[in-house]
This record gives sequence, structure tokens and C-alpha cells, in this order.
Amino acid sequence: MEQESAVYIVDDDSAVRIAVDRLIRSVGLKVRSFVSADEFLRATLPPIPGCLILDVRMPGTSGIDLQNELAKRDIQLPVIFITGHGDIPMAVQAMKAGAVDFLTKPFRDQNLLDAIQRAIIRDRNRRKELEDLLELRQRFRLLTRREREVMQLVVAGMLNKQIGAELGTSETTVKIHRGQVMHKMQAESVPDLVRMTAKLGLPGSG
Amino acid sequence: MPISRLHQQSTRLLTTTEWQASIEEILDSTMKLLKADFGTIRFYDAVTDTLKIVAQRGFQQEVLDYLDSLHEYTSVCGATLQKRQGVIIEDVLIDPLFAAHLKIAASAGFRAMQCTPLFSRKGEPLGVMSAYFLRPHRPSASEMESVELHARQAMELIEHKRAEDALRTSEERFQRYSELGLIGMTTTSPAKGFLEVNDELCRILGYERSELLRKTWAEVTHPGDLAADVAQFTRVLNGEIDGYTLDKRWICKDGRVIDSIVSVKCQRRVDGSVEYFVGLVQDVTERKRAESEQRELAALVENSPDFIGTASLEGQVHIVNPAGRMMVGLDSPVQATQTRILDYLPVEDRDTFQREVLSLVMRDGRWEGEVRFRHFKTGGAIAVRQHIFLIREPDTGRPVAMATIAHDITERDRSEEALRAAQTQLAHMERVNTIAELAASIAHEINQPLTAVVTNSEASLRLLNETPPNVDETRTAMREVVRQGYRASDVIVRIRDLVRKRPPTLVPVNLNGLIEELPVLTRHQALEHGITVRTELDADLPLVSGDSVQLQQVLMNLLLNAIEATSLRQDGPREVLVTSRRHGTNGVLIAVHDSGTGIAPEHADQLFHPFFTTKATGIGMGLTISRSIVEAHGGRVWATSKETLGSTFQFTLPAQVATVGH
Repeated sequence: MEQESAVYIVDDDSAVRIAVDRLIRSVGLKVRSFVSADEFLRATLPPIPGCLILDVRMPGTSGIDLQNELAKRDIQLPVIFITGHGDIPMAVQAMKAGAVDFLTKPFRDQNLLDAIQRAIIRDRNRRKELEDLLELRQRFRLLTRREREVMQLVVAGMLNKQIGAELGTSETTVKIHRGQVMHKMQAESVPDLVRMTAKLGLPGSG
Repeated sequence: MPISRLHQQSTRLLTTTEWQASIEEILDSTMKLLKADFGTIRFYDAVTDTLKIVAQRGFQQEVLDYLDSLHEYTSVCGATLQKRQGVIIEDVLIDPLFAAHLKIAASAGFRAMQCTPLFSRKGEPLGVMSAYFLRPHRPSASEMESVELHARQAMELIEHKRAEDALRTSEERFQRYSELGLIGMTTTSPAKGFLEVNDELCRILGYERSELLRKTWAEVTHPGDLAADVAQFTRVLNGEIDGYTLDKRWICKDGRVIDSIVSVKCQRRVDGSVEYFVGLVQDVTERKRAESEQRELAALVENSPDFIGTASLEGQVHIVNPAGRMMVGLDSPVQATQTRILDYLPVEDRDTFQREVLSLVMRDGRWEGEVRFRHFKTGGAIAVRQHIFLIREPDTGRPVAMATIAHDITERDRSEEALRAAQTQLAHMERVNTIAELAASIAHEINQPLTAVVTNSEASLRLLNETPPNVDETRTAMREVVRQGYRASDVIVRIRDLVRKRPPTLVPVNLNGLIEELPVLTRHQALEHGITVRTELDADLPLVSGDSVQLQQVLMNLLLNAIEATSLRQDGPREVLVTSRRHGTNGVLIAVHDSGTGIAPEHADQLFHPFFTTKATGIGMGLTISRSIVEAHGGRVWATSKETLGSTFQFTLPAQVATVGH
């Protein structure tokens, strides 16, 4: 896979854990294995796309418990459950809580690898969107108060002249502000700017 | 002046002698005034409707007798009372009014007469005063005025006497009642104070006489009843009525509440004001208590959920309570009275009941047991637990009637049945659950290494496909595959050990005894499918050495399977037969024959394999476990089947002397 990513495995059964570890490494992915849910929670995870392969049935904190704990800590890592006995209610519960897949042991290798790939893509997209948003917020922070007003009216579809009238200033001044907005926000066009305001959740962008 | 003296006299109580003298004095005075030759004063007796002579002057006895016997209104004097007007007959020979009485006039010898009626203040007739003359005569108007005056005196005197007589009578009566002590009696003042009380009233209210005499009746009246009493009392004071009767409660000295019926009469003075009251108090507390007890008893019977009934000693039914009527389908109490005891029983039970139950009731006074009643409408039998007993006369102990209480035990029987069924079901469920859990656990234990094997193998295939093939990693993976293969195998070995390591508790076991318990243990299932479980046992069966719980489990298993197999058959015999017999020189053979559809040939060799089942809800462990138990006891189990004739599952066990091998 093109970009750096990490797969985490939590399974108390070392034979299964090592086998899955080996399988994933065989396709060139980075893997980190954990014996228990607690060990995983103690670990520091790098800020790269990844997913978690989680055994449902473990002594102590179960797989479902760990999934709930991650949600509580706002760790949005995609989870793939593997279980010895796939009972329907548990699968439903896990999927509702955001699991991306639920595999019954023994599983076909390709099924697991496909699930991993889907999970990582999903995580990567999520991270990208988050980064984009943070970047946009950073750009927005650079705008002066006047520039933010002008941006809002531009996005609302008003002409420079109208904006000038609205703000009680000359068309020329508006033009200068507008230029600054496009520059600071790194917007290539007005529609581009509209998309940005939508992402930022600003008013008047709809 | 006699009149003024009389007037004085009239205001005080007179003795009878004094009174007689006074009335004669009035007569004398009147006659003197009129210069009359004869005279009478007669009282009117409302009871006999006659005039009785109380004073007379100048008449012969025979005339007096005649006058006494006269009916009021037929006499001249009677007529004056009726007309409320005095009469003067100047000459009896001329006046037509006297025509009917000439004979008496002749025999008495008078020619003229005068008669003045006497009335009470209220206008009730009191009597007459008459004067007679030897010659024809007419008293003057002024004379008559004086006569009127005398008459008024006489009236007062008579009225007074009457009141006195009445009072005396009532006092005498009061005294009599009072002494009898059957009823509480009192005289009370217009201010409500007790003036006199008899012993009974003291007893009723629980006060000493002296205490009661310091109280008013209002003080000891129950507050809830005071207003009603006072209202009536006030009406008496106002002259509207002379007495009243009411139910009222009293508060006794010790705080008890007494129910009573009170009757009050007043004694009035001449001016109409109340002099005193006479009160009669009857204690009805006991009666009320008895009444309410009666009501409560009746309510108990009415509302009892059990059948309660009474009948004559001859068996004629008197009463059946609503629950009883409902139980046997009788519509009304009247309908119940038209039945006899035996009507309540199924026809076939009546003789026995008469002979064995009713005769015992008569002998012992009571009987208790379980019988069947009969529903009058459906004829259906109702299982009841019945108590029958005699009702006796309290004093003599002579039996006068029979009574019964019967409790419907259909529901009890049914719930016991359900309980037994539930227990069997539960035992079965527990067995299934344990096995299911065991199976799940085994599955997990095997699934883990299996997963490792599959995953490692798949990883190996990928590693070998790399260029160049990653042989080192593949080798490691394959070692892991081998290791995990052994691990799975170890799990199987461990389970086998687990089964083997549970040696049966070896005690002498009588298999016949275990078999005899089977129909009881499987009663519910057999009943449910209408199947008969029959046993044919060899009485000389040797004991075996074994674990009776495990062996019973095998027998139950085979029998339940047989019942289930037989239940699937729509026609033919519905019977399961369990037999025991000696086997060979030193063994026993137990066989369970069903009348099911037999074993399909393709299933025959799988019957005892784990997880093999032909049942929708089975898990296929029953025969597997049975076989492992039998084999652990050194025996053998197998099945034979004849198509459409059912199958036979049988097992052998060595007799006790033999060693039980592993």
C-alpha cells in the first residue's frame, strides 16, 4: 500500500495473534500485536492511518469492552472483529458501535486483508478531512474582521459594488479586501471559497 | 261556702273518701239549689260506653240498677252528652223525649228532671249530673246558672280524679315493670336529669344509681344519636306529641357502646307543661351483636370460594352457597333446595358414597376425604376434597342436619401435573444446556488452533509466491502449523481423558428397580403422546456393579427416544416395552422396544456417533453419552430395527461378580 499505515492486533491467543501478524506482514503492512486490551490502551499510537483487529472473546476486558472504551476516549480507529463463535446479536452490537467488519474464525485470508484495506482507506480519509479542516481553520484565523465580513458577502454571491454599499465603503476598498481573502484562504475561485466556508461550518455558506 | 272549699280541694290530691264526700257535697248543694227531690252524678266509662252512678240521692236500688245498665245514648242523659247540651224535661208525661223511659219515671216516682253534661277541658265526656222532681217543674234561668257553676266544680273534681287514677295506674304499672328488671326504666325531668332509675338501667349503663341520678340522659347518650333524641324531646316539651320511641346508643361508664330501643312518655301538668318523663330502655346490644354475627357468618358462606352446603339428615339439600352452585352448575338457591345429596355425585359413585361416607358421618359425626362431584349440566366429574359433619342441637347434642365444605382440587391436581412436567422438562433442559455449553467450549478450544493453522498456511502460500520466495518465514509459519495441529489434537485428547477420568461410582445396582421407576419419570411424555410404557422384568435378574445415576441416565435416554419415535407413528400400537433378562452365563440384557417407524438403513451405522441426530431439536449426544457410559461399565449397546415394526435398543452389562473394566 502506497502510504505509511499500521495494523494493530489484540488477541489473547498467541497462536492466532502470531499467525494473523504473519499474514499481514506477508502483504507488506506494518503490524503491532497486543496480548490484551489493556496493553493496547497503554500504547502510544503514531498519527498514521490504521485499523484494529480485535478478538471478541478475551479474558478481562473483552473486545466489545475495548471498542466502547475507544469511543469514550474519542479514538476513531476502525475496528475489525474476529470471533470464534459469531453470534448475530453481538455482531449487530459491534457494527452499530462502528466496527467495519466482523469475521468468524477461521477466516479466509483474503477476507481479512480486504477488510484491513477498507478500514485503512476509511481511516486515511477521515484523517485527511480532519487535517484539511485544521488547515482551513488556520487560514481563516489569519483573516481580519473586515476581511471575514467581505468573505461572507462574497460567498453569499454579492458583487463588489453591493458589498461596498452594504459595508459603507468604496468598491475599490472591497476589491482589496477580496484579494486578501482569496490569497490568505488560498482559494482559487469563488466556488472554491464557498466549499471552504461550508467545511468550516460558517453561516451564509449554504 | 262549699264551692270555694271544693275549689281548694281540687288543687290538691284527694283521698278516695275525701273525693267521694266532695262529689256528694256538690250533688247535695245542687239539689238544694234546685229544690230537687232526687239526684245523681254519673261518670262516663268510655270502655263500656256506659254511665256509672258515683253519687245519688233518693233512688231505690232497683231504679239505680236500671239507670246503671242504660246504654249511654239511649238515655236522656246520654243524649245530653252526645248533644253537649243540658236538658230540662218539665213533665215526663208530656215531653216526647222521655216517652221511652216512662216506666222508670213511674217506678222512681218523678215527673220532671234536669240533666247537665260534664266535659273535660279538652271536651272529652266525663259524665252527667241530674236532678229529679216529684211534680212537674222547670228550674229558673238563674237557678240553671248556679247549676252550671256546680257542674264546673264537678267537672274539675272528676277530671282531677281521672288524672290521679291514670297516674296511679301508670305508677303501679311502672313499679311493676321496674321491679321485674327486664327493662331499664327511668323518670326524667324536663331538664333531662334522671329522677328515678331502676336496677336494670343501672346495669345497662354500668353506673351506680347515685351516679346516674347526678347525670342527665344527654350526658350518657352516644353523641351520634343525641340530636335525634333531643329533637323528639323538644317536640314533647312543645306539646306536639306526648311520647316517642327511637333506637339510640348509650355510652356506658366503662366506655362501651350500648344499643337500645328507648320509649318515652310524658306526664303533663294541668296547664299542659311537662311534669316528668317516663322512659323505657331496652338493651338490644346483644341482639344487634347476634344479628351482625349472623350477617357476618352469612357473608362468609356467601363469599367462600369453596362449596358450602347443608342438608337434612335424610339428604334433602337446604342451602348451597354461590360458589357451590357455580361449581356444580345450579342456577339458583331454589333449584338447590330441590336436590338431594346423592344428586351431586356421579351415578357410579353413589352406592359407595352412601355406604362408606354417609354411614361414617352418621357414626362419627364427621368425615373428610376426596370424592368426585358431578356437574348438573355437563355431567362432568369435579375432583373435590370434602368435609362432611353433623349439625347438632346445642342443648341435647341431637343431630339435626348435615353440612359440607368441599374444595375443588381439579386445579391442584392440574398444577401438580404441570409441576411434574416442568421438572422433567427442566432436567432435560439442564442436560441439554450442559452438553451445549460443553460443545461450545470444545468448539472454541479447537477453533483457535484451527484458525492459526489456516492463517499460517495462507500466509505461507503468500510468502512462497514472493520473488524470491520468503523461505525462512515460510518455515517458521509451517512449524507453527504443525504446533497448532498438535494443539488441536491435544484438546481432543484432553476431552477424551475428561470422560475417561470420571470413573463410575461402583455399587450393586438392581436394574429392575431402576426400570420400575421409569414409567413414573417419563409419565408426562408418555401421557402427552398417549403412549403406554410397559415392563417385562426377569425377577431373577442378577445385580450389576455400577453407577446408578449414570445407568438411570442411559435407561431414561433410551426410553425417551423410544417414546419420541413411537409418537411419530400415526397408526399401529402406541406402546414402549422395556425388558430385562439374563444374558449369557454372566450378564444382563436390557432392551427398549419402540413401535416407531424403525431406523433408516443409511442411519444405522451413525446412530452412536456424536452430533448425529434425526430429531429437529436434538443435538445428537444422547446415544453417544449412553454408549460411553455402558462401555465404561464393561457393557455393550446396539440397536436393531425391523422396518415399520419399530426398533430395539439394547445393552448388556456384566453381572456384579465380573470386574468392571476400563
